[in-house]
Amino acid sequence: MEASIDLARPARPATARVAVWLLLGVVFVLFVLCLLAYAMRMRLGDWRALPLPWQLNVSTAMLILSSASLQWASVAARRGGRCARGALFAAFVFAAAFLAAQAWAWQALVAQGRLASANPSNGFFFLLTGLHALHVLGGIVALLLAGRRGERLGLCALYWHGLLAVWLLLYATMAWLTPAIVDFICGVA
Amino acid sequence: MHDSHDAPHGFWTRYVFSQDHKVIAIQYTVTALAVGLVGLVLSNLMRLQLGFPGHFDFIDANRYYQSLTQHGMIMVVYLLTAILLGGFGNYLIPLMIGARDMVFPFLNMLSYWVYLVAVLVLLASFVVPGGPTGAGWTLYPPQSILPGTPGADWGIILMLVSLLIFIVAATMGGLNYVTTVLQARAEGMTLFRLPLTVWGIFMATILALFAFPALFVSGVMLLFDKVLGTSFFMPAIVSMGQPLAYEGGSPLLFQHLFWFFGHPEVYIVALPAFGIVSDLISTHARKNIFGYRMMVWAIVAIGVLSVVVWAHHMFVSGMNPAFGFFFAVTTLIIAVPTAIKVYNWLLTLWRGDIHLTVPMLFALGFISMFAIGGLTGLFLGNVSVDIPLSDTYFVVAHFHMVMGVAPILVIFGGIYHWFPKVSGRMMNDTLGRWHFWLTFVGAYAIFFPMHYLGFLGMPRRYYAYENYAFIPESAHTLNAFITVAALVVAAAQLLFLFNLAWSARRGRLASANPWGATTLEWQTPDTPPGHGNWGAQVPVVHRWAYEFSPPGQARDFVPQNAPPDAPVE
Repeated sequence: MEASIDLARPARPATARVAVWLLLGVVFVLFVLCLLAYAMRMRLGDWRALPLPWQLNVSTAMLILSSASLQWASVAARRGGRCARGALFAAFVFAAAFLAAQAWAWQALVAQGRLASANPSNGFFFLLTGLHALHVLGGIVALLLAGRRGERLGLCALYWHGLLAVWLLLYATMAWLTPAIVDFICGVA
Repeated sequence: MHDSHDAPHGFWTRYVFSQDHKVIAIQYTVTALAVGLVGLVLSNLMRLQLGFPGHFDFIDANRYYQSLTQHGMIMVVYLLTAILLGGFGNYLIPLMIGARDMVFPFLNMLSYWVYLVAVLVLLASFVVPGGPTGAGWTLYPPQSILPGTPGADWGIILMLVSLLIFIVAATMGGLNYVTTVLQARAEGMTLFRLPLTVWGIFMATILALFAFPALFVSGVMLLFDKVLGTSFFMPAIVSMGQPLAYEGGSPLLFQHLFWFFGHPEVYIVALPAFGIVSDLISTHARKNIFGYRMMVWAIVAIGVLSVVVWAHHMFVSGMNPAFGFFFAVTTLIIAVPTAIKVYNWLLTLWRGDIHLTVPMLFALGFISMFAIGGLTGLFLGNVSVDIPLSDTYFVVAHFHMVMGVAPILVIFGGIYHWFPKVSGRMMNDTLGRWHFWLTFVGAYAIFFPMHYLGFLGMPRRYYAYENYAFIPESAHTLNAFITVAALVVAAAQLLFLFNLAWSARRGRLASANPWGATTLEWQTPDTPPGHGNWGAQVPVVHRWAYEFSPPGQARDFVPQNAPPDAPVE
C-alpha cells in the first residue's frame, strides 16, 4: 500500500530507471544538437573532411566490449552468480581502454599537426570525442559508487549502452556524412 | 540513491548540506533573490545613464554594456529559471503530489551547490581584469569574443563557464523533478488531479532538460572559438586593423543554437508562472479553475510549440522569406493556447468570491501585465512588423512586460501565498499592498512608455542618444520619467525584502491553511512541514485540486485528501 510506506523507503528501482532513461534522452539531444551544428557547419566552403585516425576502431571495440561486460555483470549479479565480479572488472578495464584509445587518437592527430583550430572538422572531432569521453568518465564514477548490486549495475549498463549508441552515431556521422548528403537532405542540392 | 529519511540533527546537515527539498528550495530562493538584487541594481545603473546622460561619470559605455549584459543574463537564467524551478519546484512538487521528498534527495542537494558555484563564477567575472562580458545577453559572436567588447578576455570565458555549470545544475534538478512527478505521486493523485502549479513546473522542467543542451552546445563551441581558436562561428575577420586567424565560420549557426534554447527558455519561465497563477486565482476567488483539462493541454501545447518558434528572434538576420513565414505562423499559433489560458483565468474570476489578498493582487497584476505584453508579441510575430521594430525600445517593452515583469509578479504572489506554509507566519499585509501597488503601477510607468519610444524609432542597446535628429526632446524627457519610475520600483523592493526578513521572525502566526486552499501542501500535520512532510502516513487523494464552494458544504472548499464520506462540517 502506498498509503502506509515508512520513512526509510528507498527509491524504487523503476524510479531510478525512469531517471536514467530521461538522462539518456538529455544526452542524446545534446549530441544530436552537436551533430546538427556539424551538418550545418560542413556545408560552408572551408570544410575539409578529416581522415579519421584508425585508433577509433580500437576504441569502438573497447566500448562494445565494456558494454557487453557490464550487461553480463548486471545479469550475473541479479542471479547471484559468481562471475559478476570478473565481468565488472572487465567492464572497468575496457572502459578505461576506450578512454586510452580515444586519447591515443587525439595524440595521433596532434602529432600530425591537426589541431582543433586547423579546420572546423578537426574542431568538431575534438569537441564530440571530448564531450563523449566526459560522459563515459562520469559513468565510470557512477559505476565506482554503484558497488556490486544487480539493480544498480543494470542502471549503469543501460547508461553504457546509451553511450555506446551515441558513440556509434558520432562515429558514423564523422565517417560518412558529407556536405553532398546534407545538401540532399536539406533539398538544396 | 541514498534515500534514508532519518531526520538530520546537526546544524550542518540540517540547514547547510541538507537533502530536505524544503531547505534546498529556500536555499535556491534566497540565492536567486540575492543575485536578482544584483540584476536590479544593474538595471538602475543603465536607467541612470539613459534618463540623465552625462550626469554620472562612473557609468561609461563599457560599464553600461556590462550592466546590460549581466542584467539580462542574471534575470533570465540565474533569477527566474532558478527560483521557479529550483525554488518553487523544489518546495511545491513533493508537497503538492503528496511525496515525502524528491526521489533523489542527494542529487537534489548537489543541484543547489552546483548552482551556487555557477552564481559565484558569474559574480567572479565582476572582479577579473576587464570585468564581466558586455556582449549583450545573447553573447552573439563574433563581437562577444573580440577586443572592443568589454570583458572579451576573461569576462566572456567566466560567463560561458558559469552557464555550462548552471546547465549541469539545472539538469540534475530537472531529472529529479520530472522523475518525482512521474513516480512519487501519492495514491489517488492521477496526472489529471495534479494542481496546475505542478503541471506548469513539470512541463517547464521537461523543456529545460531538452532546451538547455542547445545552450550548452553553443557555449562549448563558443569557448572553443575563444580559447582554442576554432572557427565554428567565427568568419574571416579584421579586428582592430588586424586580420585574425579565423575563417569560414557562421555567426548565424550560433544564433540558431542560442535561440533553440532561448525561446523555450521564455516558456521555462512562463509555464511555472502560468501554473502558479492558476492556483492563486482559483484559491483566492474561491472558485474552481475554469477548464482544468483545457489548461493542462494548453500547457502541453505551449511546451511543444515553443521548440518550433525560435527563429522569430532572427527575423532581421536576412533569412529566406519562406523560413520567416513558417516561424511567423508558428509564433502566431502559440498565441492560441496562451489566449485560452488568459480567458480561463478571467472566466475563473467571473462571479467568483474574489478576496483581494496580496497574492491575489499580484495574480491580477500578472494577468494585466501578461495580456498587454503578450498582445505586442502578436505584432512582433509578423515579420513585416518585426523588422522595423526589432531593434527599438518596442521590443524592450514587449519582452520585459511579458517575460520579465509578469513572471516576477507571480513569483511575488507565490511567495506571499506560500510564506505562511514555509515559515509558519503571515507576511505583513500593509507592506505587501504597498509593495504590490508600487511595483505594479511602477512597472507600467517604466515599460508602457517604451512602446512609444519604440514607435519613434529609438534604438535599443545604445549607450547615448546625442545628436540623433529624429529623436525629439520629449523622448529624453520621457526617458528621465522612466528612470525615476525605475528607481522607485527598485526602492519598493526593499519593502518586500524587509517584509520577508521581519515576517520570518515577527510575523503573525499562521494557521495550517490560512487561505482555505485545497491542495495537499496545506494539509500537512505540521506547519512548517516536518522532515518527511506527512508524519506517519502519506495522504491519499480523492479528488482534483479545485473543489471550491461545493454546494451543501459548510466550508467553501474540500481538500484533495478529505475522504469522500467525510461528514459535512
